Amino acid sequence: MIDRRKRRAGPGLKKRMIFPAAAGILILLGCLTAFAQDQKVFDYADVLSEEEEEDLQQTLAQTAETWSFDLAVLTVPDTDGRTPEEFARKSYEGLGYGYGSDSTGVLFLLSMGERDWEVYFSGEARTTINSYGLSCIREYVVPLLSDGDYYEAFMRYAGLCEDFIRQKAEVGTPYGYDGYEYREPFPFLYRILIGCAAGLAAAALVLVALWSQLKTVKASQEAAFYVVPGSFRLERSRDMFLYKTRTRVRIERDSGGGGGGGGGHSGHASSGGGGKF
Amino acid sequence: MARVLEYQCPCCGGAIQFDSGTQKMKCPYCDTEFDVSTLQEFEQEQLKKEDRPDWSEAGNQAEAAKDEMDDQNGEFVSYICEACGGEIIADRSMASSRCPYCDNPVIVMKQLSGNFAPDLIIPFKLNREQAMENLRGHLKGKTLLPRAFRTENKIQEVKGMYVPFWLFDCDAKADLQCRGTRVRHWSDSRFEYTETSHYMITRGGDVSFESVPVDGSEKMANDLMESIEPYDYKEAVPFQMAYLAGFLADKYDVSSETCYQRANERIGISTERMFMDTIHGYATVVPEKKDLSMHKGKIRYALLPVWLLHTTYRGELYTFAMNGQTGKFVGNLPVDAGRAAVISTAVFAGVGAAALALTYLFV
Repeated sequence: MIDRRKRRAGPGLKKRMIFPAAAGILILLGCLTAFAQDQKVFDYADVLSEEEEEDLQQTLAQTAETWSFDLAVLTVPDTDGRTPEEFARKSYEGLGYGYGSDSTGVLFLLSMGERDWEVYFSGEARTTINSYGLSCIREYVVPLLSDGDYYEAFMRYAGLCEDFIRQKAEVGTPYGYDGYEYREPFPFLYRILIGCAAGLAAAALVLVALWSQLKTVKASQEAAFYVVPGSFRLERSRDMFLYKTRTRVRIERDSGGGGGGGGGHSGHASSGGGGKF
Repeated sequence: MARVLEYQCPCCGGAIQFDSGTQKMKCPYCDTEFDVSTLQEFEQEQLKKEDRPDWSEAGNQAEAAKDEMDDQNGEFVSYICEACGGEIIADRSMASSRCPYCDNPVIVMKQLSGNFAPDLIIPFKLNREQAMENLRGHLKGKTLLPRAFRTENKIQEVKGMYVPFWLFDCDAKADLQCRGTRVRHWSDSRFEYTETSHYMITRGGDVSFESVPVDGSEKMANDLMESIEPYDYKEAVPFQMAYLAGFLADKYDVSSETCYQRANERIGISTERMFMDTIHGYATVVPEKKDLSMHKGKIRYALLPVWLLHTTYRGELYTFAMNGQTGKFVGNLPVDAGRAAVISTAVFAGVGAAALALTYLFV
């Protein structure tokens, strides 16, 4: 067996030295059931550093505790010959995820070998996150995977799912139903920058206006006041067309993704979906 | 010694001077008023009848020669006050002043006669009190002006002065060639199109300018004098020395040839702008060639009225100028840096917080 796991720091995480295929078997056998509910992140593909893994674990555990809604991440080098959908479902069940009698939760599977991603919805997640949430994951999370920003992608996935969960819990109607649209949160840093820019511009304008009251000595650049009335004569005026140039730019169309996405901003119950990244 | 002229009241013999309020010559001792032309004629008659020895001229070739040498080589020349006999030392360009001993107005005739005689003069319409009042008004409502300036500034000098100006009349001819573009946008289901049409634009013609002023005194800052423009030349009158009585005056020490360049600059900019303003309907207009020529017309030498106020504040000298005809008042003032910092910080914080709040409403 090849130990491909880095030593992990921090409480609650156990050291793993399990080959992925063997881990798959163990998952299927449910041997890790007793620990899996606490551990939300399995990074067998080693795409995260220890700090990132711990950070992600804390975020997902916090969400699970707050909303009784399991969110999990599983990365593997390959799916051992299974389809991503089947692997994700089996892993979710094998690891014992889910809250309540219907095992409410979401598993995000990343298979590095085939470059597959797959999201599995269970229980209430099928309506709370639904097909609209899946299309949002495709829009906001998958590009980060393609860029190799795996930590950012998983954190974004966690934040997006929590927004959907909160919407259902507080409003009663999930995003994707009755016209409720999900908007990507505007980064707070950008808000600060906008506030600073507006403040600076206003302060500069006010300062210039007040300063100009004090400086009244200015050289006169023109002599328009001294034009003899009626003396202006436009004797030659010609506008001659030379040539024209034409350019065109193709209109970009939304290429749309794989299945499960529903039309526009409407959603329907879904057990999940995936694609390539 | 050069001859100085002092107008004396025919009634009481006091030193008479020009009064801006009545636009007449007025004796400050007996309040008698005289028309300028009347007094000038009276003075001419007095000069003819006068038989007292003119010590300054009798057999005084050497003195005259020395005087000329002073004019040419020295920075200062001296004159004798005919009222008290005091010696007045002045720079070469001084044409009118006051005797430092008896405060009599004195006018140096040779600075303002012959080739140096101004063509016209605009008499003072506003007096010293109005100048001081305008200064007080100038200081009001200035948020960044240090509060202490209003109370602590010390008026050093207030002087009414006729500043020598060259007035230029000219005809300007212009030929401009520009490149312009018009842009059209449209789209269909597949593409967005942009069509740019290029044009050659030609404009040409002429325009006349009258009395473009350029100050002919090296001592006067050009930007200060340009800031108090314009003057209303309809109120200009043919020059008579009597108008100078009671005010300072300098003859020009910058030639019209030198000043013509400055007038050219201003006329050129205005001419180009007038012809460019006839070009409409283009997205962009870029000048490619411009041919501007100014044809010299009349050049006149004028004395224009200016009230000059000098004040000090914390060791710094501040100069203010007021147009002696229109009352336009200019002068740079100090900035209270501390107050500027407080105001700009408050605006930054207030507007920044409001903008931040608005982002939560709209984004």
